[in-house]
Amino acid sequence: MGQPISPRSILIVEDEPFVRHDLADFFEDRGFQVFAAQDADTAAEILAAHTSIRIVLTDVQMAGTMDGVKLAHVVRDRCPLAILIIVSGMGHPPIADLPDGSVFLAKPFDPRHVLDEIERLSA
Amino acid sequence: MIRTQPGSIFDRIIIWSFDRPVSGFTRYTLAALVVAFVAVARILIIPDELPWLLFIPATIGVALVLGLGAGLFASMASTVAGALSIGHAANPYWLPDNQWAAAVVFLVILIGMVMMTGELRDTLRRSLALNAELVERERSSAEREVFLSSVLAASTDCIKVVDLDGNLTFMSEGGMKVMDISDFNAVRGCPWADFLKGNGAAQARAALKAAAEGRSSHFETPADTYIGVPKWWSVSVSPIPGPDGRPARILSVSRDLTALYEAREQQKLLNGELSHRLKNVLTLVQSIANQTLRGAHSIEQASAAFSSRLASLGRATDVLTTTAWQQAELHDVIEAGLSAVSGMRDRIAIDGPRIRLNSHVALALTLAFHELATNATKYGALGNDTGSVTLRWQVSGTQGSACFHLRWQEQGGPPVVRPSQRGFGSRMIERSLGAYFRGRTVLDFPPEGVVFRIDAPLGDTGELIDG
Repeated sequence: MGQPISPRSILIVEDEPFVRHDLADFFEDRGFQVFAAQDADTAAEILAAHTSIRIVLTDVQMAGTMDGVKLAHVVRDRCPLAILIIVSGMGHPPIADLPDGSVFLAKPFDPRHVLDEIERLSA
Repeated sequence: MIRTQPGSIFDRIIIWSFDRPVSGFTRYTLAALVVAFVAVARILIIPDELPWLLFIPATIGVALVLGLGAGLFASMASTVAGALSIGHAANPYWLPDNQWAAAVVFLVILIGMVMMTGELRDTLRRSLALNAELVERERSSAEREVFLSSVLAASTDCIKVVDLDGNLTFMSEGGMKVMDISDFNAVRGCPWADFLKGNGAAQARAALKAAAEGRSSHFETPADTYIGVPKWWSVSVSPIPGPDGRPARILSVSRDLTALYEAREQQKLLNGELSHRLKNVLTLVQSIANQTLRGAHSIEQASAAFSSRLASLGRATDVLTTTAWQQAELHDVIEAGLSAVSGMRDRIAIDGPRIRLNSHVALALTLAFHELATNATKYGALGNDTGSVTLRWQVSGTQGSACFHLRWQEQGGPPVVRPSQRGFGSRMIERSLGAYFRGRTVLDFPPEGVVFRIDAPLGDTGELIDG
């Protein structure tokens, strides 16, 4: 498919399984290696095990010890170049709360728009 | 000083006579009898040298008790009786000359005393009337005071009077209650505006300034009660005019708005919650649309499938709305999921205890039942005239380790052929539904009939309803 030898990896963090799986299908169809987590704690474990992941798409409201914003900060601290896309159905969190260079999208969003943002930030 | 009861015996006797008015004839008869009685007593016990003495108290007494007219009559009768009692036919004019002079002096002095006594009696009568009027006035003023203070006490508003400098001078009893103040002296003279929080203090000062200039105003503000309970108040400030018509004092009435504010806040929260849920549902619908289109063979087929899925989702939201999107009963979820095959509802036997499911699981399970039922009519047991479905579930284990087991078993349909491609239903059930339940969901295709099973811990997903 003309992709680089190691496909780009994306971690999708979303607590609604049906939505998580649909997003996973979307990115798999477009050549991504997709990791999925139902909450931020699981996401942190996956990130620790797969250091190649550079793109994280996370919901804000989730069960567990961390919400999506906190997770985004953890990712940013570990990997300054990571592409962070934060989505929520609860409205825009204060800009100051979000890590530098992260992108916020209100739910429902078009995953193609996420793709565009990934292309823009990867360039 | 206003007296409601007479003081001296003297007063009492006169008042006694005021209370018992008698006719003129009776008065004069009584006066004549008194004089006659004194005259007889005079003759029997008093020497002739003091003929007038006993008549003086008797006549004054008559004037006091029976009035001026009877007093004057008694004066003359006393003089005549006195003169008669000491005179003698041997004298050329009945009395010796010096006694004539004494009689005249006696009469004149007696008349003077009787007139003074009469005046005294009238004065007392006027004073009594005045006293009664004052007593009545004081009574009505006290009544008015009781009325006003009971009205103030009954009000749940905090009614305050502040001076033109904004210091507290009065607070209603009910107001002290809502402000948690037990003794007004604790706050008397304190600047009222300092009790308000946030922007309220500035608003209060502006309102006081306006009131001092004769204008009324209104604002809403947070303020703690005296013991620190945070509350919201609706405050009205208005001038109280003095005798010259200019503002002399200021009235401030605060009404406890806390319940209303909390309701407004609750409303805002609910609106936010509703917006959140709406977006989540839209996101779910978006995923359903994507997943429907992924396996679609034609636009027409995809459109029909999508519409049918949305319809069952709509029924599930009806069920959830009745519980404010907290939970749904499994029986209701099944009915929502099976609504697409309602014409064949009697071919699906349902048996299991009542279980409450959380909203996410309820929506996912509705979609799963919808897929099972529509697939059963297309390819499975509901596709012929004889097939049937048995849907049974149970809960094993207790509270903490309770497990949910559900089985959808088709029988009597055409021989089952395992689908060559995983469609929406298969993906939904095997992949997503398992994640919703955090357990195992299996869709199997043995030739005798499709089997679908859920085996999952009940834990977070739901609970058994007792009874």
